[in-house]
Amino acid sequence: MKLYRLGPEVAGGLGENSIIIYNENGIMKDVSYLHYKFEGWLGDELLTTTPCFIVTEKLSNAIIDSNLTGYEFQDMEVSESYNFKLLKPDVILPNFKRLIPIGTVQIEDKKVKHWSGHDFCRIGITRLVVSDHALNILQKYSISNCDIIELNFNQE
Amino acid sequence: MNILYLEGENLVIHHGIEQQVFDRFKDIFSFEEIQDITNLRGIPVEINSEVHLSKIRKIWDDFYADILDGIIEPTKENFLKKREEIDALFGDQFKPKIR
Repeated sequence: MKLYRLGPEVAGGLGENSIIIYNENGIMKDVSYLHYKFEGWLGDELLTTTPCFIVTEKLSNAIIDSNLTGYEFQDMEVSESYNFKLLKPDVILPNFKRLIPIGTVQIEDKKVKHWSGHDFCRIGITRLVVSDHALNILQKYSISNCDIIELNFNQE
Repeated sequence: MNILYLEGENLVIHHGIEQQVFDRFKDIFSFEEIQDITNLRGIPVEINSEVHLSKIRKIWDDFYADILDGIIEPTKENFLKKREEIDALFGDQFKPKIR
């Protein structure tokens, strides 16, 4: 089994209808409802804006149809910024779903110290980690702008 | 971001420190600071602006992630330092050039 940390394309940011949860210092710590506003799009079907991940509905169906573990999907809102409409007037965005990874991975000294055993995991709050099984599914779709880094396990 | 037509060129105007900083981190920057002309950057549409802007968004997103994970302190100085790093990487393609 291998694990990979993913850095998906960032095609936009939080839209005004997002419901954001802040800590006591006014720092965003989570998003309870996601409105993803596209600023551009290179075409990937797995996207992020910290701390959220989204996938096309087509890819979400492929994940559901697989035996992958450690995720939830949530409905969300998508919109296009003024710039997006100007730069990409012919692009029709597909439907997207928010992907919430619920597995966990802990890293120590740049090695995996603990893994919950799920196919979709987080390191900390923000970093997406997937198993090789999950990566195989994702790579059947467009993720060419996603950074993929293999993680080292603790055993020598 | 907005499109600006300047000296015969189509420029994509973006904010050096992104406008969404207001949504993510309250009370670090004022509206006037983010909208100040010194925080605006123009990228000619013709030089594959979408790819450059995508890279810039990814750098900022990593920065936000490091803050949420407690790796970086959300201070004004750290935001300005990150903007300088991005200017150093892409500033020669901005119009006007930053470096």
